[in-house]
Amino acid sequence: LTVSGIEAEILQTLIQGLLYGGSYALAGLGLSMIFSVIGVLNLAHGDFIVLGGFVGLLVAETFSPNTYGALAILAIFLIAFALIAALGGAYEFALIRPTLKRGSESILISSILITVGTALVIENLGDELMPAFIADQQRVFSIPLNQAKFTFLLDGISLNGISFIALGAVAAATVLLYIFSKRTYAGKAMRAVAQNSESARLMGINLQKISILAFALGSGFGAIAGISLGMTSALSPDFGLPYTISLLSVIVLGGTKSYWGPLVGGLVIGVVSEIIGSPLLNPLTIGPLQIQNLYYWAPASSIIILIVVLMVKPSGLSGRGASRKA
Amino acid sequence: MSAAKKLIRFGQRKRYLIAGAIVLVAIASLLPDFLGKYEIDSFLDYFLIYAILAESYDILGGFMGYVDLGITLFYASGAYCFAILFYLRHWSVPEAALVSTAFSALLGLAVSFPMFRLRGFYFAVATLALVPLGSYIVTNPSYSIYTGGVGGINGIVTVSYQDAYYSILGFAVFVVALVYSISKTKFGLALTSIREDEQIAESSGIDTRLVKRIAMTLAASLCGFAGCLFAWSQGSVVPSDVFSFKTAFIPVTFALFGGTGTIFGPVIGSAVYSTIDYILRSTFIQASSLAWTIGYENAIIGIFLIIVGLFAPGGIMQLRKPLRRFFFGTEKDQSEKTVPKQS
Repeated sequence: LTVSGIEAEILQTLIQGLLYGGSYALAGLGLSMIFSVIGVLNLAHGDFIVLGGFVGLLVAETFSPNTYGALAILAIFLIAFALIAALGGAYEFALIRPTLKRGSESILISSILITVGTALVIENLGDELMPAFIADQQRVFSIPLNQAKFTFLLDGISLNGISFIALGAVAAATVLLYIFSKRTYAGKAMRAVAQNSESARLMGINLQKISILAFALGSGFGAIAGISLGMTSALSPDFGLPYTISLLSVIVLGGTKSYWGPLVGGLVIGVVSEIIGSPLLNPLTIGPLQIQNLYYWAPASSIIILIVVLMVKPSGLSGRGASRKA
Repeated sequence: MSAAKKLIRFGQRKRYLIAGAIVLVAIASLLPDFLGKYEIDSFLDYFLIYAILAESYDILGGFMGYVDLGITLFYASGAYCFAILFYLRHWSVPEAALVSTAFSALLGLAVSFPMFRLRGFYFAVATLALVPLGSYIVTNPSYSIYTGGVGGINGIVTVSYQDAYYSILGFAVFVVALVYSISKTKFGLALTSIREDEQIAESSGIDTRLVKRIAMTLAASLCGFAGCLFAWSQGSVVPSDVFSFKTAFIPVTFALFGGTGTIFGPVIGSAVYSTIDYILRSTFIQASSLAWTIGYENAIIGIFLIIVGLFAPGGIMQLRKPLRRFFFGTEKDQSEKTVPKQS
């Protein structure tokens, strides 16, 4: 295989975009799972993602994947998943559940207050306590893997093997989530509750157990997405709320009702923002119009996509979007 | 009945309210004689501006039931527009303020078209997403010759701190009076009917789209003028401050903390919250055994939000009934509704 020049750049951009998109898709699936089952949009989801990445960093420093290899990488994912899932379950039990007995407007307001409060607490604690764990004063961290060991060179481009590990983990988690929601009792119960919680309850489904499970799994998959992001780029406590906003674009684009919605939405947003951020489209020429420095718009791209989708097709890609849902 | 008679009757019915308001405003206007420049600049000005923001949020979030988390977009755009026109282009203050307020109002109108396709959570977070979008635009290096980039705009304050304080106080009183009078009009009734049930409101002949647009534009212009006052009194506009998430959550938090859908809830919430924040940052705390709280202000505010969300979603104004029972021994329910029935 010989690739060179512009093709290599395009390939690299697409792979990077797939990776980001995969992480967004997985985290968006988690968020939409929580929203469709419990009816609460967890605005601290982005902070759970960053927290997952941070747990991954701590585990990586303990087990040192550069000496132990694949087993340690598996341990990073599993431990972070378990811890963040437990945190998510406990969070649902302690803070979200007490508000669910109120009317729908009150639930909206209380859950905004509670989840934003949680986000502020996590971000502030992260900012203040981070220097105790990492040397970097900028409070930016990434999960240290030996780049040289994993990098392999294709003719003309260097592809980072870590990207493939992260992408593989995200893909495996997505497939597992699919199997879980289609084949197991708990997954089917979860979808039933998402469709109509009252009927599901009458069919003998334990709503409280299902809510905790949905919150735990959603947060846990967010943690896996966080580790993939931490392996390939940097994370910081301040990224939490911006991630949540990007994930909102993902689920508005895809709709929350189907499994495929957030998946496609995440991939689209990841690839598009990576293409805009790459130097490929600079300067962009459309007819007589020439746009300089398009890559400055990359961080804003998910928000622009969100607004365009709202203008053009508020029901989302799958046509069964949640925009009309209160 | 003539307007004067109406006014007199209103004065007789609400004499405690009016007397209380006059006393409060009198105390507020005497404060600069007792407090220094630092307290005015860093505490009272902020408290009043946040009260204005919370009050404008209350038009959308409280009366109309649309939780707009991104209302500081209009505040920030007003502040930025004013700073560019006044500090960089050297326009006169009234011209700059007028143009910036109009700009914010137009922005509010423009934003209302995509945003009112949404409801509930989606509306809340989609409006919130506009705040970082604004921040990306002003910090975009391509435009930094106009917007000052990441560093923002730093001008020299041309107004004395007392004048700035009185202007802000005057506007805050105006906004509270405006919201109060809105709650007494048909427009206010239309807003609350949209909150209670939008479909029924629409089928009873209310042009809900128009009402929602007007409400958003109104709130945006109030926030925009508050932004002008901020830029005028503080002299600098920094994107990491006015466009931050922390600022974005301030109006909604203050309003919810005080009690949404009420006239004075947002002001009371703003007062209590600003005071706590000020005490946490004051030298008194920093010298005492509570010094460990330095740096954790956001976390303390976050815990505070969680507590309010868990136990008192109606805010401080929820406590009116028990307090009234305690002080007067009777339960008068007339102020329970934000908009009393009227013919």
